[in-house]
Amino acid sequence: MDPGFETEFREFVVARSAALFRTAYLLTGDRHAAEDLVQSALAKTAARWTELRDTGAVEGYVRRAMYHEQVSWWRRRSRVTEVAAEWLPEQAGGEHADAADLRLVMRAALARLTPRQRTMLVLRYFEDLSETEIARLLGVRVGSVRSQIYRSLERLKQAAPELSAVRELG
Amino acid sequence: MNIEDVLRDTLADMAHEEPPPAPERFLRAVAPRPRGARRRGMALAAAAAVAVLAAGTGAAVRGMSGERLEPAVSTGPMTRATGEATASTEPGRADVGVIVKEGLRLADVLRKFAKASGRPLEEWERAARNVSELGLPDYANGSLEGFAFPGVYQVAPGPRPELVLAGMVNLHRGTADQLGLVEGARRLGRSPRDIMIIASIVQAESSSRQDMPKVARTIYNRLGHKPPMALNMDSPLMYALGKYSVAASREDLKSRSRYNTYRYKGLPPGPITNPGRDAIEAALRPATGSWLYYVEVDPKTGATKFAGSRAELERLLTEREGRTRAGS
Repeated sequence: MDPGFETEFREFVVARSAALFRTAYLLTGDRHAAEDLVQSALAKTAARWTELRDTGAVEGYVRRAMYHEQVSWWRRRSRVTEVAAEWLPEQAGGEHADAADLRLVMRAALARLTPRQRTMLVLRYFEDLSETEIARLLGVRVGSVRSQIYRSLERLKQAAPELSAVRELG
Repeated sequence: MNIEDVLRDTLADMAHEEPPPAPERFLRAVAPRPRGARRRGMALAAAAAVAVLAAGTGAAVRGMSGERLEPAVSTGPMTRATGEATASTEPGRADVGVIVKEGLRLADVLRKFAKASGRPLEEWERAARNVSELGLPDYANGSLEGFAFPGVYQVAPGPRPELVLAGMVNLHRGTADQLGLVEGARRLGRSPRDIMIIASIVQAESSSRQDMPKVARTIYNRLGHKPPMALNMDSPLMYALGKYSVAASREDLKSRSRYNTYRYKGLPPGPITNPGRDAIEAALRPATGSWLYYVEVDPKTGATKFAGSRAELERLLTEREGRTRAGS
């Protein structure tokens, strides 16, 4: 095996796989799906290693591969939906909802978004990317990112009405 | 707290609720397979252990203790020096490492090895012709010239010459894979062999690393010129004649060798040096420009300028003349 190639690839995986996995887990909401997602993105990256390495584009490429795979139309959401049902709390919040409850409600609501919407939220609120960057990564217009994120947030609020309340108070 | 903050917190929480799997999980599953590296056999793995350090990498030296048959060299993207590699400073190694500079001809490499190893030159020459043992890529057309990758090589005590030379080829392959030689050549509409021939000329013609992409572009511009334009370069001719002069004499120009690019248009039939990584990279990624000429305007510093027209060329030649006269 070519020494440079293997060493570099190994170094990259050792250094970055935990972070990639975290993002993948947020995108999919499922451990196995997340591992699959990272693995498949790394395989694509390995196949183009030399040119990516030379242009310093490795990390960006892996991530783009993950996002695209996650939002592509053929990817089934069944797994995510199952998780959703599991996590749906008996009572969604209420007046005394504390932060932990809110997050629980939030997770359930997240799981019911489309993969595309969920991906955009993860990129915006976990990766802290701008709407413009998200648009570029996913190959859609900025306006579309903006409206999808807005719509997703509305759906989260519907799922947990108390959130609208906290928002008004806050 | 608004919904965006709750979402941020939720995501941050979720991100840490599942511990990431060990990196090995992914490495096992996606072992990268560079093209052409699949079945190279034990001989080549051993050969890789012969090479101490690839030129121009400054990479860490590992695996020389011999308990595992691991490649000894990482040709990774670390700091890149120009010119000579320095031998490892670890005791017991520097003294056996032979430095092979970028841009040497094979004949000179073999002479160097013969001297350092105490083995007769004929033995090295025989090994260099023993191509079935060298692991050459197809595009080498069964000849080692151009593929004896520069670096620091251990020639004494005694690995067989074939093993040392195979180690050089192995480093070439590693570099070629990293640079994407085969795909890059396709993008340029050339064969990998053409790229290596161009790289070998770039190596010989450039006085600095910075000039390499421009020299490469000049070669491409000449090759693609309409009406056809000869390369008119001295270095291939000097190679064919076994000379080391910079400028061809009137007598030299009469040579009927296919390496005489004044007489024959297009590339010479094979590499004329053993280029390093920078030169190969320059041949794969030439600079953008319409240059057809270049002139070493200051022979003392090697400063080179590029020209796209006869008129510009004339100006550069005048500049050179001025500087040479001022300097003498």
